[in-house]
Amino acid sequence: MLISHQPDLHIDDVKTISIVAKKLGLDGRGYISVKNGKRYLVLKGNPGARPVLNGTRYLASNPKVSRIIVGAKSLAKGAARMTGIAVVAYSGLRVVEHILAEDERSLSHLLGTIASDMMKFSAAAAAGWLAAAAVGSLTTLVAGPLIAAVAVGVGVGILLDRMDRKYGLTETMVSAIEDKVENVNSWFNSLSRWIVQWEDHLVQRAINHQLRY
Amino acid sequence: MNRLVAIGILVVFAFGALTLVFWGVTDLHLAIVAFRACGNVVIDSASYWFLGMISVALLPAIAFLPDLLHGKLFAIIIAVFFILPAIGALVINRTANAYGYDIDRVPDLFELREERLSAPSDCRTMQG
Repeated sequence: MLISHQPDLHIDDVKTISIVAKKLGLDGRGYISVKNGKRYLVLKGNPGARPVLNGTRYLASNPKVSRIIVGAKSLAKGAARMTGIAVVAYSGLRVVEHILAEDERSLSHLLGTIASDMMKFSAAAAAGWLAAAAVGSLTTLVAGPLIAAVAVGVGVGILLDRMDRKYGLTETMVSAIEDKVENVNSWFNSLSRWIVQWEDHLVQRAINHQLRY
Repeated sequence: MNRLVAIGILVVFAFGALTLVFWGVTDLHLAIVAFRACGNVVIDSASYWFLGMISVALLPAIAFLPDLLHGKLFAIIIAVFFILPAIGALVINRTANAYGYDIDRVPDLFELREERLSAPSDCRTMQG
């Protein structure tokens, strides 16, 4: 990953990072330099040792390097996009699991499980992003933030999964959703009873009115 | 990101990671004690990975090491992240095998699940 000690200069996502690592090597180093209002990518180390990008300085807008220089917002966007992909993939898996389940499962169970997955993915991605941004501010090593993001993201993901198994977070969420659905159902039941009673009352009034004449 | 803020974030992650390492070590220790006592064992594969979190605790060191040593530090971080969990899984598998537990039911490193193992009837205690 290309990182500088200046703010807001980070890499997009794992795909981009892998491209950078491939181009610069895992121990590749670089930083962003701004001169006369123009941003340059300055690569450190022996230029001849690099398979590509043999120069020492590239204009940030150069197509060869533009993909590897993105802002912190793009890094967050990349994390959000990857989380979205993971959520969609896992939701599909949960739906298939729900359909193929031998025991009777409610829709609330499916919703609760998906909501729990979403929370876990989001928390892991946010932690990974934060770690990558922090490491990116402290090193010029290309692969450093990637390693930090993976280590922290995987760690948080495993922790949340473990806590889920140990303390039944998903089950709690499912029962909370079921309670809400039950409340809504009971409210609708009360409403329907009230409507029926009101209807009976109106019919009775109409009959009484007719009998009076 | 400001350097101090970055260090602060990494230190927070490091403390969290050390807590996880403690949790993982405690879990595995309890499992080994239960194996030795031929009792029922609860083992969760997440505990293996918690050992590897010591690598996250190393992250704040990049702020204090010269730039040229960062490569070596990250190499150590990657190695620790994978090797310690693998050692944890290996130790649990071997211990389970040594005391006659069904090792097919012991969770592997790459499947996140909890398993409860009952003591086999022919549990070979190595005590005494």
